[in-house]
Amino acid sequence: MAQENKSKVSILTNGIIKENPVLRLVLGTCSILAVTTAVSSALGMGAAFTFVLVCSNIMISLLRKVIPGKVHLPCYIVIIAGFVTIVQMFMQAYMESLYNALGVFLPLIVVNCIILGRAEMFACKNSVVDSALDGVGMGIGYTLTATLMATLREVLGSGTWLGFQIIPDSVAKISIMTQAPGAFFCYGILMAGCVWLEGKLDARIERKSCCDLDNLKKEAE
Amino acid sequence: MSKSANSSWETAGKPIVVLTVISLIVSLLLALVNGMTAPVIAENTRRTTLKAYVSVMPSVSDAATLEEVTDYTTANVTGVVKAPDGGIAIKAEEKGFDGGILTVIMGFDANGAETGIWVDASTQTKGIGSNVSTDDYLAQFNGMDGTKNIVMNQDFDAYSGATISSTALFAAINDCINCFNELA
Repeated sequence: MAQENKSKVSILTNGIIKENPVLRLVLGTCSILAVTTAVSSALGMGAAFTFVLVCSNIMISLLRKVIPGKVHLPCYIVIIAGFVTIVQMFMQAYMESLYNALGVFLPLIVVNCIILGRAEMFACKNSVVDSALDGVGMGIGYTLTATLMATLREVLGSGTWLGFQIIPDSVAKISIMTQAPGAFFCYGILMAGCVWLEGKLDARIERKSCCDLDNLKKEAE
Repeated sequence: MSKSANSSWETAGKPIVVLTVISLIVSLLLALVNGMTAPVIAENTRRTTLKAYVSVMPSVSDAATLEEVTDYTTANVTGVVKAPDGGIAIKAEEKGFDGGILTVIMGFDANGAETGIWVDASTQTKGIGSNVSTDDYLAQFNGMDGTKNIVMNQDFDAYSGATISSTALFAAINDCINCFNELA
């Protein structure tokens, strides 16, 4: 089991570089590519996403002994969809401008693979506190990545940052950055940067593919 | 308990019960939250709509002077208000990209000339379909004749690259025009 004296701090910081959900686990790509055209929507999406992830992680960790294996996915989806809808209602009522900015991407948090992924990989086999910390860490990792990518795209593509003009209008903008191909360029560069940074920080972690995980499970049995 | 009874409970009964209970609890929570937020959301929507009505009618400065009109039959029109000077603002909704509702409010003066147009394209794809609500694009409709239906790319341009949202916009504008002709 994953109980090798993992310190709480390492659980929290895991999501920022080592297991950055977007750049290292390559999850949640759809929403990242879509919302990073503006820093404001990246921050809003990050906050909404973090809230849902922490809540669902806590809930799923609490219920990990109650939920039978056969129906664990439907149970997780119901819980996650519930939290997303709650966030959506509150945002529409009290933060209307943010709600309008996020538009269709808010309900799409339900099917964001990071949330389901963390439920499957972490929350269903760890304590409530650890799961909450994991949620916070992953949320920070997601928000940081989204903000970084949105900064690159907004400054280069629209010449603004968080809506403020940074590059004067007279300078030609790289409008491809606001479109889908620009998102992929940024994504690739950030991914490479994250791998480089990880190598600088400490030894590269050996990664196992999905088939290896199955073998690992068999070994454990 | 015998072993077989236990295992059928574990494999069939328990999953059903757990999933049902979780769904019920989540539904209850959602109902509670909805009860709390629905009035606030309705109030927000009303305020935004009133503000939009005023914004398309330059002769009106106070939403309180607007009078609601209900005797219209034009499809997709969801609201009409009349100003004391005979001006009319009409709200229409059309399905845009991926079923997202595009809302248009159009103001007419008593003679049927367009006095303003307000578009909520927040349900459309950001940076593509949402562009049909930009002032630069909407400027082409300024002062158009609000009694004749318009054809996309003939009378006015579609937003390049956002054909579906533009089609919805033109359909909604035509709904407004039809409704104005109905009421006139």
